[in-house]
Amino acid sequence: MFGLTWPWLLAGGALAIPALVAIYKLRQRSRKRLDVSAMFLWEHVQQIQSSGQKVQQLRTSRLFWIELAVLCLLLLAASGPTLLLKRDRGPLVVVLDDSFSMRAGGRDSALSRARAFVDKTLHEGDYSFVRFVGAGAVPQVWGGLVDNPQQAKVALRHWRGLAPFAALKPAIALAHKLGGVRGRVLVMTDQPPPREKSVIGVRWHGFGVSRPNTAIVYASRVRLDQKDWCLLEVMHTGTPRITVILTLQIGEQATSRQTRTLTLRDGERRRIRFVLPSPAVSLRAWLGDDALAIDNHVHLLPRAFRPLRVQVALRHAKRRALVEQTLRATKRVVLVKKRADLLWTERPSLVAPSPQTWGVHWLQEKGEAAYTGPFVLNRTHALTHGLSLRGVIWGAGGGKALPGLPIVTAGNIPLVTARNRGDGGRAISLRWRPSLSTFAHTPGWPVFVWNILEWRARHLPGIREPNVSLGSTLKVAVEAGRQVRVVSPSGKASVVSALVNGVRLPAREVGVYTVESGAEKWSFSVHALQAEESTLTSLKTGSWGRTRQIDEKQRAPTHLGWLVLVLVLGLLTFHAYDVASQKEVS
Amino acid sequence: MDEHVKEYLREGEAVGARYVLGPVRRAPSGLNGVQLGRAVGSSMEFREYREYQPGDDLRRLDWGAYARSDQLMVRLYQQEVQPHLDLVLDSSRSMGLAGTDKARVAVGLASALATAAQRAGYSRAIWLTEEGCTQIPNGNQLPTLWKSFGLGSSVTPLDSFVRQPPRLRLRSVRVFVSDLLWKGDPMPLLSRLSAGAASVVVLQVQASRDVSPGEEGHCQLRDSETGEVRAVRLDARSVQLYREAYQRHMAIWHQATQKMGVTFVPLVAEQIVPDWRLEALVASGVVQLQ
Repeated sequence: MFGLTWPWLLAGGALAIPALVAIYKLRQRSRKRLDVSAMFLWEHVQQIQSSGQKVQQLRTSRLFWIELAVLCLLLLAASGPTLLLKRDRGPLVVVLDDSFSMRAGGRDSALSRARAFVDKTLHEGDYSFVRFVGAGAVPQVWGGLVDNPQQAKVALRHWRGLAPFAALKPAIALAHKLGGVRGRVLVMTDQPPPREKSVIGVRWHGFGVSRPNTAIVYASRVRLDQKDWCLLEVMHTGTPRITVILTLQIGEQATSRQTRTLTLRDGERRRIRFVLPSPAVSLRAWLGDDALAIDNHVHLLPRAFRPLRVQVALRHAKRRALVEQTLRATKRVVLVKKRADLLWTERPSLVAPSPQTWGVHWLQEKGEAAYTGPFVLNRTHALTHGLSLRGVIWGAGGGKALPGLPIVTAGNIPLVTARNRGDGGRAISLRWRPSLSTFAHTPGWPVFVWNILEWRARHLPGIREPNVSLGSTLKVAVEAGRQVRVVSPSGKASVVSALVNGVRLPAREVGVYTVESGAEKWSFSVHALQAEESTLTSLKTGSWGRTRQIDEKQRAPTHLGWLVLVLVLGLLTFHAYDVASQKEVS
Repeated sequence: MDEHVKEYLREGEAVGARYVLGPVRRAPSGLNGVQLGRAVGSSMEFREYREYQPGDDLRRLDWGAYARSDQLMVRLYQQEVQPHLDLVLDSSRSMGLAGTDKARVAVGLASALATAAQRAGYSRAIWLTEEGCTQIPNGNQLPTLWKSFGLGSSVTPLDSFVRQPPRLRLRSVRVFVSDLLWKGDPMPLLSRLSAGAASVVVLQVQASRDVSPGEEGHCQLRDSETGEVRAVRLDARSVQLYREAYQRHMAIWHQATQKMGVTFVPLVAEQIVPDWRLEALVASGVVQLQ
């Protein structure tokens, strides 16, 4: 079926055709017409005297038809000719707000209402296919092409309202990309569009309801000065004044509970600081029931602190004393003679006793050299974090090359390098002669040692930070190849294999995860701490914007304008050739 | 055109009343005619005797002469002939060239010649060169009684002769009225006209524009027969070229008519119309004043 996008343009432009005809008519009239008995007697006249005239007459006639055809084709091209090839209902792409504010309201939450609306839309609509884009912290496509309710049901299992926030703008962009020019984009959220521009080309459905809410929007515990400090921040929005009870439970015993009564104004954020009696106990804090339950509870787990086992196997007494003194000053190591996490040595043969023992190889080289710079530091490496060598005189041996990635160099002379040993462990090569150097007397030296310890500690088995926010990714350090079993707060268990850098676990649920690897077991807690999502006063129900209206009987249009223009080009080429040939004849 | 043809016929009939068709080189033929022929015939007018020859009609034996001379003598009588005019009128569109008197003169001449022939005792057949050569009904009567016709054929006379030749009577006087402006060899047509004819006259009726077009400047020429249109600039040079082409064409016809012994009389319509004095025809012996 043939169609025109702008048929009125064709009708309006058709006025040019009578104009063309009139031009030719006027040209014709401008010549006197004379009947003759026999044209053959004029043949010589035309060939010799007026051969151009003869051709001109032919050309005029032919050119007229060419120009008329070009004019008609141009009008046709301008009116947007399309060929409707087959019936097509167009795709539908639904952007689903997965932020946890969608859960506000319990059974009457925006999430449940939006779900019902999606089900209804899918039931009533007649689309070529449906796709779902989850708008969480990062837009994600949920499921493949959905063309039946069962597939939709499977895809919508991902929609649980557990994202720390909804990146709607990139999700809508992704939806447009998936739907193409013919796709309809629906946005299912609990908030109104931020701006009018946000609803261009999309149908925005808000299912939120403005509600008062009190939430824990910040929770942290940190070890400082041998004490375990805890900080909580409670926020209230929606009512001018409210009194809430914050319950604290230190440890697992219910008897240790204590409550605090907080009176909060609208929009006020109240901070509560206290010291935990032991770094090994956990802390639970919760508020009473309100519109949004997910942000009412936190469970701060104790950080699994294990001192780093360091063996200093340096023969040189001054060096050994310098290193041991510095290590003790950090208060995070225990010096051992075997099964160390980190080994300081001057002998290459001792650098790699086992994969768990990382080595610091202090080179003993002949010759002497002192460098005042320029020192080049590889700032992407953890060993150079906060390190400065400005004004340092660095003494070293006479060697030139060192294995591994250069971390610190004096010009093109590597002074510190790091390398993977291939057995899972790593080694640092240190070219440094303290007797010729001022480095040990500068702040750079303890910083450097601290960085080495931190670098090693970060790769110790287990979880370094057990309290994380919803949507973040947690790293569990385990040996490569080991199986790790993860149990989510909802009880769902999964097993993953560790890679070289361990296992990275996305924090998708609020609560306590447990991670097991062999005999070792760790836990981490996930909290919904996002003040913007806990603020429910801006939520709104309504619909905004409009998508392209789709006629269900519409056919997929194939634009033919290019083809018409190709024909026009062909005709114009012939026109030019004709004119040129006539000039040549004349 | 048909209405004008009636008028032209009437006008030609009046002109023809002043003339009779002139004698021709070869005697006309025809049995039981109204004129005495040159040959021995079957009229009642005695001419001479001659000896009997095998094959002679025994009824013509003069038994009295046989008795007087003892020789079989055959009585010969003067041949009695009926002269006939076959007039072929070119009815192609160019004969009705717009803006000229070609149609008026051609039809008028045909009417005048038919009238003059009637006055000379000729029977007549008038032919039109249409898709084929067709005879005008009532052509043997006064021209004003002819069934009306038009000059609108798109076929050249030669093609018309080829498609359906006229049934020309043996030893008739044949007159062909045409402008002769078609491309081609005139010999085929002249041969057909001359075959068995007592005499053949070709009257060329042309417009003054045919002979010498004016310097009109830029104009579109339209072939009155084919409708072909060509834009030309009629200046002195182009007119000269046309004249040269025209003269070459006429030279071909002159040569052909001379070769075939055909009387060729060129006429310019605009010169005839003012007084209808057929001096050229009289001079060539086609008609005589009476």
